[in-house]
Amino acid sequence: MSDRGESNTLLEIKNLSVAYGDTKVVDSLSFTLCPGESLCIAGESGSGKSQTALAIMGLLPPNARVSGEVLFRGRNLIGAANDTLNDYRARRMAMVFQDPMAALNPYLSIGKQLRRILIDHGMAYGADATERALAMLSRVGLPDAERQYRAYPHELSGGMRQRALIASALIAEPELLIADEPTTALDVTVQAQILRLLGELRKQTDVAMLLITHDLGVVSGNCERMMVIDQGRLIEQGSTRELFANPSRQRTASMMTAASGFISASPPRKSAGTDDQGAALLETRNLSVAFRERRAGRRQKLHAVQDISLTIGRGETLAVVGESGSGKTSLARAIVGLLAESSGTVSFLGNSLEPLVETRSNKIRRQLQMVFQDPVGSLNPAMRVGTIIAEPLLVHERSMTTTERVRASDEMLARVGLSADLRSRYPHELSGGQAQRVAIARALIMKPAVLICDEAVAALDGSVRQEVLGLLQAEQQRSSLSLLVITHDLAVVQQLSHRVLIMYMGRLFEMTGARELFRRPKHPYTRLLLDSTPLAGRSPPPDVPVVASEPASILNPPSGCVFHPRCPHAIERCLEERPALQSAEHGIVACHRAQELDLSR
Amino acid sequence: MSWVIALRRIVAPASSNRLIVFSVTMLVAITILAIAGPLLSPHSHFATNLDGRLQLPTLAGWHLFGTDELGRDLFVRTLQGTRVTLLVAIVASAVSFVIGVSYGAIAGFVGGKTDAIMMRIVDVMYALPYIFFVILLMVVFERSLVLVFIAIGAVNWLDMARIVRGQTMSLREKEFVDAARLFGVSRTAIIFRHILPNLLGTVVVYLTLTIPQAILMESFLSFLGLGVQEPDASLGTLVNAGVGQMEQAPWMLLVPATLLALMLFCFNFLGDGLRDLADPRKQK
Repeated sequence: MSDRGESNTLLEIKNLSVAYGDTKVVDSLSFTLCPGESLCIAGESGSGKSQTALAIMGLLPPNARVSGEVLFRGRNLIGAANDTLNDYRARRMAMVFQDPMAALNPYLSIGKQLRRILIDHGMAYGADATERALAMLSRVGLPDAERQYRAYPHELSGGMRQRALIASALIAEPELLIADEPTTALDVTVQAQILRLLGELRKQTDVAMLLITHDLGVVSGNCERMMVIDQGRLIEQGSTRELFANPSRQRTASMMTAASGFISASPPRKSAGTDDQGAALLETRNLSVAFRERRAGRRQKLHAVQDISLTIGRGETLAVVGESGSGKTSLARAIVGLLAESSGTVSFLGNSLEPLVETRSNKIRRQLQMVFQDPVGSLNPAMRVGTIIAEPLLVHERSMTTTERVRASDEMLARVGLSADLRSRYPHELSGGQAQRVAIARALIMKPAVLICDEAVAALDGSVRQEVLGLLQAEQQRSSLSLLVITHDLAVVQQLSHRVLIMYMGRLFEMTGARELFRRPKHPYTRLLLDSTPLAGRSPPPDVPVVASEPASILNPPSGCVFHPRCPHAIERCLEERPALQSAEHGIVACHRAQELDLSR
Repeated sequence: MSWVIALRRIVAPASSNRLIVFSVTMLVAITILAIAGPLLSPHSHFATNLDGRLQLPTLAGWHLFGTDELGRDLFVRTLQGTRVTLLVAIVASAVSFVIGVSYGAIAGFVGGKTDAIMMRIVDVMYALPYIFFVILLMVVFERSLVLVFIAIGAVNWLDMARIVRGQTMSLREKEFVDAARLFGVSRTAIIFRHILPNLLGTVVVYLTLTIPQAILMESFLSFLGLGVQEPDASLGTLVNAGVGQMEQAPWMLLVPATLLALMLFCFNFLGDGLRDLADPRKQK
């Protein structure tokens, strides 16, 4: 396979353990990797998968105690001198990190960083090094490599940065590439491209790959073998295909469910007692948000949200879906009244509301509540859980005595599935899932009519995410709560929502029923989102259209339809004329070719 | 409620830090001595005795630290000076805490034009030539201890206001503040219940670093003759007098200077120790 070695193992890990103090984070892990092979290590956060990768690279902090052997072509790297390790790093094994912004040096241009690696390892100098760096940049699919060569990391978008990082990992032609959650920080559409790039590069260069991820959807189609680890221990390993077909351990199975909820579950039906379209509980009309930005001394307006009109009925769930920067969070914040920069109207039960929450009445305020993305950040670190949950009562139920408040907060704790003795804990002593339950309890104690969830489960691990989604659904059944779910994750949409609104660069692209969305998307962007979502047990469709890879800058939007540079179906008209919203079979869509295109698959 | 909790988070680990325990013990001992010491001595800080000038420290007439050039007991005078110095420390930190913290928190939380105006006022105060300002105060008003407090207080809260403002601005963006806005907590309640308790760590640390500054400033003013007046003393005026008699009576310089240095050390150690505690990276 490879012309380098005669031995048929590249990397052999024997009884690798990593401990901090008394806590073992990796517990006697053993595995082997052959040249050119790809192996995936899957596990939830805290399972020790990143620690394993760092141990192989010799990058663990000094207070970590490492034992066991890491044999790279037969040579043990544990306890090797730093100079020896430096010979191995980059040239023989390289790593791609989760956050490319943190892994690239912000003070050096991309090209210089690549050249540096070649020069430091004595592989090329001068013009030769420049040429090889340029070649590598175009190989990882960066358009206009000459320009990217001179660009600094902050000038690139997330996906481009990750490509640059992959280029810097592969430039010294290593035999082993370790990718630690390489796509977790990226949007789904970009994620699909990066995964495909890794697959292609692996075929071209014969490099062995160790892919570390928590998302089993990422694994399928990319790795031949996989190992599932939990609390530092190997719980299952085998060929990817077999494991997906037949997981023998509970943990693996639950991770699979979390990743494949998308295909198996079908969108929920509206519960009985739900109003139909007739009476809208919450309505927005032409809601826009425009921030003033100062760039290079010039004042510019950034239109984060443009003319969004939507309605939510009682007991209904509307999901707002879009990539990062699509304006979905600004939309949610404008609705609840946290943004002073909004225009247009928000009305509740037919009465239009003041734009800012401070000027709304208490009666209205308690009806619209929000759960935020960062579970720990949305709880005051200096308050105990019991006080946090009861705080709204200080405002809304002034007649309540302290004992009554404590009782009420205890009831809420039980309702969201937490034990009552958590009441005296501080937020930093809670897990992510527990903290998010506390945040939900605090919102629900006011008995709101609408709960807005801004990426409420994005920061949670698969199985915990399922539990929190289940809790939200149960609450909806119980009190016909309306949900406005902001998410980038189509699996969340599928599980929770009745209707879906697709946003792109602040504009409404498609609004339709959830079932129809998955069966018959009307907008090419919706199709792109559906195709990009990685699914456990499914290889990504081979023909995902990869046109201009990422959204254009919102400060300088493209002419006509803002999606046309990425759209595989764009025609002349899309470049000139902005599409108006038109009604389709089950909803509305903003696309010139909505009538003629058949995007169902 | 949450204030107590925030304080406890700082105090609990502090009791296991040797540097902090040592500094606090020393400071408490000095304070007790400064309050009780003069009461136990038969001498007063202003009674002169021209027959017993420049006496060496002796147990005989209970002149534990000797006497000065007017025959006044240096033990009582030093402790009386320590009282003044401690008073300066307390007043300066109180002004810094009350005015600096609330000024900074309001500017940072309200933001916009209010913030711009409030912070420009701080900039103007910074820009005033300080000594010139104090001399002017002394000329316009009668020289008094209160005026010294005002002069020191007027400068000391500025740093605190800037620091608190910066911290408040970052806390204001936190999601728990948004959540509080959503359920209708008033602005004042947000500042007092959600912002200030989370600032307390920084404030306490910074306070212990402000105190030595204030003490030094008072000593400096007194040394220039702008501060405390005879027959009252502060450690600064005592050091000044000691410099004059350095050759005949070195103890007149050594005693107050040592005590001043010791207090400054303790406050600085305390600040350093607390800063280490507040920085999670320095914890195991």
